[in-house]
Amino acid sequence: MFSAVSVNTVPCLEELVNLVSDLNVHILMLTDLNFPRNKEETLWKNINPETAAAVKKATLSAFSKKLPVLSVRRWRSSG
Amino acid sequence: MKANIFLLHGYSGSPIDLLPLEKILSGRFPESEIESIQLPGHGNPQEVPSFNEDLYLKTLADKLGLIADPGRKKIYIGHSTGGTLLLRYFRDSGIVPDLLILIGIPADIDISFLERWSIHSDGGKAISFSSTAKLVSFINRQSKLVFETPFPILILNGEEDELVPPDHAFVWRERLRTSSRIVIIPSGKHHLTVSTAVKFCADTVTRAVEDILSGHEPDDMNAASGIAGIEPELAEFIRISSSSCRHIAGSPGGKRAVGREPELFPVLSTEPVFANIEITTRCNLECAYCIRSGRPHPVKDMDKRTFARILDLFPHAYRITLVGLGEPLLHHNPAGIVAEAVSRGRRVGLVTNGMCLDKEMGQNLLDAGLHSIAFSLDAPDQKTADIVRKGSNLERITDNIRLFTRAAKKRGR
Repeated sequence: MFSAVSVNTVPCLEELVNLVSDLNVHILMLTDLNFPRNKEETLWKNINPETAAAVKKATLSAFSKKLPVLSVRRWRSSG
Repeated sequence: MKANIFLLHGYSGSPIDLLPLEKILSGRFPESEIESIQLPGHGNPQEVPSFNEDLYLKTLADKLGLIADPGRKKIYIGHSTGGTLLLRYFRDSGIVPDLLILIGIPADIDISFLERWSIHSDGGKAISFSSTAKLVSFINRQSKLVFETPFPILILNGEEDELVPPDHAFVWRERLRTSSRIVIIPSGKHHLTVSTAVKFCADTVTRAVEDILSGHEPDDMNAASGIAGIEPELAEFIRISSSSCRHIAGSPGGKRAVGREPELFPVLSTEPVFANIEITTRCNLECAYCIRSGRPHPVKDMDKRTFARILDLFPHAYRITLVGLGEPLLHHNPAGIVAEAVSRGRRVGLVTNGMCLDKEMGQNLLDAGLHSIAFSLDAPDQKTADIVRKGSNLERITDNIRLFTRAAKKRGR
């Protein structure tokens, strides 16, 4: 599973993890948005303790469901 | 590693036709011996000698049969009828070349060649009726050549070859059933080596020669084996394309496999081992964050031959991913595209939004040998999906994913 996460969708990331964990996929890959026009909505531009906590909670939830999570480096440092 | 590289011109030509390529090869491989063979009677730019099959083959036997240095790779380059003569010589002699490069060789000659010859020769060189008959007979008799031992063949053809259209290259590939690769040279004419296409042609030739000469260094083999331990499909790819070891070893993953740091800059000396290919511009969604959304896009599917051409341009790319701004499953035959790459030992994956992945599509892709699939899904509910992935149907997508992952699991994937 390949999921792009924005500052707008990060609040429902845990819910997305729950959905994905039920689809028999092997790995969840999380990325920030790309393309310059999306810059203002990226996580790295809007990172704050609340967003970081949401990412961490969702990631831990994935691990608890034995769903491995891959991410790009900057994303990892955000969460 | 050194090589003996032989060049053989076409029937109406002479070594001068291949001189630009010969010079480039001499500069690139100074330790190798490079010889351009002149067929008897050739060399006069105003006259085409009588076609003499026996004499030509005897000349090749005299010139090539004496070379027996086991420490050197033997590489042969034939242009037009020169390529056909080489093929025939190898069949008759049983000699197995390390690499054969065929440039613009006709698969057969029919009446359509009359007009094409007229354009090609531009009224300059006339061929007698007797010679024409012998030439046609010779070329058309080679259509059933069979080789006991396969060897690597690189077939080059000018995209705008006025005498031998690119179709002939594909006929030869089907016919030879050996490890062959076709590269169609953009804007190339029949005399690829004396036209503006010579750089592209020479680059393709020198890369192929480098692959043959570089051999298999222990480090390269270790790196490739290391990755094959993680990706068993790679072992099969290396069996088909042993020269890819060097490129896989030189890739970032290959370097890590033997504990070396990847060096990406300024330019890798090896060729790409991964390729992302967009097979269609079509998409059924208007995703909020996609650069494609809101822009007019011409609707176009890549045809199988173009896809095959891309694979030939990237002979060492063993991992192919069908991905891009278009949704690959909207292509008119995605399973056919997958099968084309899989038949060449490539490991194929794709990225999809899952909308079109119904049961039949899933079965077809699995039958075609699809190795991996990535689903793009950014929303856990339809309300969010309507905002970030406009046009998507979350229920249909999740049903399709479940169906597919179950079917794949049943097949042990």
